[in-house]
Amino acid sequence: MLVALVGQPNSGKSALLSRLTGARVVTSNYPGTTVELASGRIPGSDIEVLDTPGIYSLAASSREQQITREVLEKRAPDLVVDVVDGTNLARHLSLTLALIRYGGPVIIAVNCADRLRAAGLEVDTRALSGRTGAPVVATSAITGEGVGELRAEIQAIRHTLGTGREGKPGRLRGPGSGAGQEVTGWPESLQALQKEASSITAAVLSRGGDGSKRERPRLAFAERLEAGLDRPLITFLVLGAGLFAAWAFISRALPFAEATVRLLLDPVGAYLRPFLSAALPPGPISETIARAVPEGVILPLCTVLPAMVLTYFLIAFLEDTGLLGRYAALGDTLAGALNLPGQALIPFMLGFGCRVPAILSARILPSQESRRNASILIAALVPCTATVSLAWTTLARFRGNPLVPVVAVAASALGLARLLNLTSGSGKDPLVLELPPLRMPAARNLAMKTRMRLSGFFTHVLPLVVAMNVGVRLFMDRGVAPLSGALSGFAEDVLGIPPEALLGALLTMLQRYLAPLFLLQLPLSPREATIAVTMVSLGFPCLPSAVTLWRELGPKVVLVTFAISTCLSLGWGTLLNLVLP
Amino acid sequence: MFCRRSTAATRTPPPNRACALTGARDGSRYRIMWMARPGHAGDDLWRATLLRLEELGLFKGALLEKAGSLGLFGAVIVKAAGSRVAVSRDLAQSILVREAH
Repeated sequence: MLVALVGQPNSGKSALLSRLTGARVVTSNYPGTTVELASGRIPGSDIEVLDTPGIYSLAASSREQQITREVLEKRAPDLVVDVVDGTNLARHLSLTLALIRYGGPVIIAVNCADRLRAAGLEVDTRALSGRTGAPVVATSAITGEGVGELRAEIQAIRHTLGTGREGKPGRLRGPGSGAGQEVTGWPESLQALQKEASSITAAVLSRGGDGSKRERPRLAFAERLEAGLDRPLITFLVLGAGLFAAWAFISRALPFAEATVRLLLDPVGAYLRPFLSAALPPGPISETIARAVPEGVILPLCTVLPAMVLTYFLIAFLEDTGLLGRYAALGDTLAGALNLPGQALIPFMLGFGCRVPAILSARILPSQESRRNASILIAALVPCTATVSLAWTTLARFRGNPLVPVVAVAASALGLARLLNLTSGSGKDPLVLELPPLRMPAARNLAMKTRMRLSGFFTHVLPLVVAMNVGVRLFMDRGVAPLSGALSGFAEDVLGIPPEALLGALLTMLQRYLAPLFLLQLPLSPREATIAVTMVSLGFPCLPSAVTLWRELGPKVVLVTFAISTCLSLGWGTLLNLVLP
Repeated sequence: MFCRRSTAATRTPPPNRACALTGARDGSRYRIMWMARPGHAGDDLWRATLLRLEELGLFKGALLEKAGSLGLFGAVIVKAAGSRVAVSRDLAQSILVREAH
C-alpha cells in the first residue's frame, strides 16, 4: 500500500514521515526544505509512506511542486495523508478541500497540535471531519502526539482497501476523471476553496483555554521578534549580528577543532603506514599505497571535517530558527544584483555546505531561467566547505592573501550573472516568499541533521578520496614527470604557479577533497598560494555537482559550466600573475 | 489612516485613496484593488507569480496588513491569510491597494 504525505510547505510532512516510519529525513523550518521524494515503511507492515515536496495548491507552479503533482497523477497513492499546520488552518484547508475533491481516501493530520494548544487554540476534530468527510487526527510531529492514532487510522483504511494495489475501490482519480478537473482550474476555483476553507475554520477553531503558561512568554517573544524583523533597522542589526557571530564562531572554533582532530588522528596515521607496508608484498607500488591510504584518510579528515561540522551545524541552526527565510527576504536586493530573486539565497547558503543539495534546492525558484542561472552560479562559484577549508588551510600555511579569492569570486559572480542575464533575456523573477515563523531550534534536531549530512562524507566521499588518492599517487610517482614538463611552461610563465599546483587545481574537478593533498605538500610562496587558491575557488564543479547539474538541467548546462569555470579559473590565474607583486 | 505620502503632489492624500503597496502605511490593513504586471515579466512568469500570490492569499479583493519593508529598495512584508509573506519591491509597486475599514 502506498501512502502519500501531502501538504503545504513547512507543515511538518518530513517530521511526520520520520515519526511514522523511523526514516531519517532532513526537517527544517522554511518552505521548500523537501525538494525530492523521500520514503519509509511503517514498521511491521507493507505500508510505504512517501514524503512529497510541499504544494500550496494542485495547480503546481514550481519544479518541486510538479513532483508532488506527478506523484498524485502517475503513482496514484492508495491513501493521501494531508498534513495541515493547525496554527494556520484556514490557508492549509484550501489544499485539503482540493485533495478531497481530487478523489480517493484522504486523512487529515492537523499537525502542530502542541503549538496550537500553547497559543490557547483548539480544533474540533470531530466537527472538521463532519465538514470535510475525511477522518481527522490531531498530531504533533515534534512531540509524537497523535502519531499512534494516525498510524492506526492508516492501518484501518489499509484493511478496508484490501491487499492488492490494482483495481481497488477508492484509488485516486486523476484530472479528467471528473472531480480532478474541477479543482485544478485557475484562478477562480482556488479563491472559492480559500473562502470555503475560511468558513470551515471559523466553525471548527475555538479558544481552548489560556494555553501553556510555560510556552506563552516564548510565543510572545517570538511574535515581538517577528514584528521587529519587519523593520529594516532591526533586521539589518539582527541578521548582520547573526552573520558576524557565525563568522566569529567558525574562525574561533576551527583552529581548536582542527588541532583536536589532528591530535586524535596523527597516531592512527603513524600506525597505519608501517602496518600497510608490512601487510602488502614489498615493491614500489605497495610503498605508494602504504603512503597514499593514510594520507587519503587523515588529511581530508583534519582539514575538511572540522569546517564541515561547524558549517553544517550553522546551516541547520539557520534553517530551524526560520532565519534562512528572513535572510532571503533581506537579500532580495543583493540577489537582484545577480538578477535572481531573494529566495535564491537559500540554495546559495546551502551551497556553503555542499553544492549538491544546493543545486537540488534551486528547484524552489519560480522560472527555468532563474533555476539555470542560480545552478550555474552555485556550481561554478559558491565555495563549498571543502573549498573553504582548503583555502583556509592553504592560505594560513603559506601566508597567502585571503582577500584576493574573495574579491575574485564576488567579481566573477557579478560578471557571470550579467552574462547569463544577457543570454536569458528575461528580467529578475519577483520574490514571493512565505516567511516561516521564528522558532527555538531543538538541539536534538540540529545534531541529527549535522550527523545525517556528515554521514554522506564517510560513506561516499572518504572511500572515493582514498581510492582516488592511491590512483593519483601512483600516477604522480610514475607518470607526472612528463606531464609536469608539458605543463610547466604554461603554469609557470602564464599563471605563475608550479605545474604540480596546476595539477592540484585540475584535480578538484574529480573531487574537491583531493586538492589539499597536493597543494599542502608543495613548497608554495605566498604569491603562488594566493593564485592557486583563487584558481581552485573558481575551479570546476566537482564530479558529484556535475552529475547533479546534468540530472537537473541537462548536459548542455554542464558543458557551459565547465567552459565558464575554465575561463574564470585560468583567466584569474593569468590576471593575478600579471597584477600581484 | 491612509496611504503614505510619496511625492510633494500627494502630501495630504484624502482617505481611501488607492496607492501602491510600497506606499502603504506599516501596520494598516488594506484591500487589494488591482495587480498590474511589471514591465519585464513575461506571460508564463506573470501567470506563475499571480498563482503563487493567490496561493498565499494575495488576490484582487483580498485583505492584507502591511507589516513593514526591508529598507528603501528592499522587499515589502505583508500579513495575509495567517502568514507573513515577503514580496519584492518591484512587484509590491505594481499592487494597488486601498485602506480597509
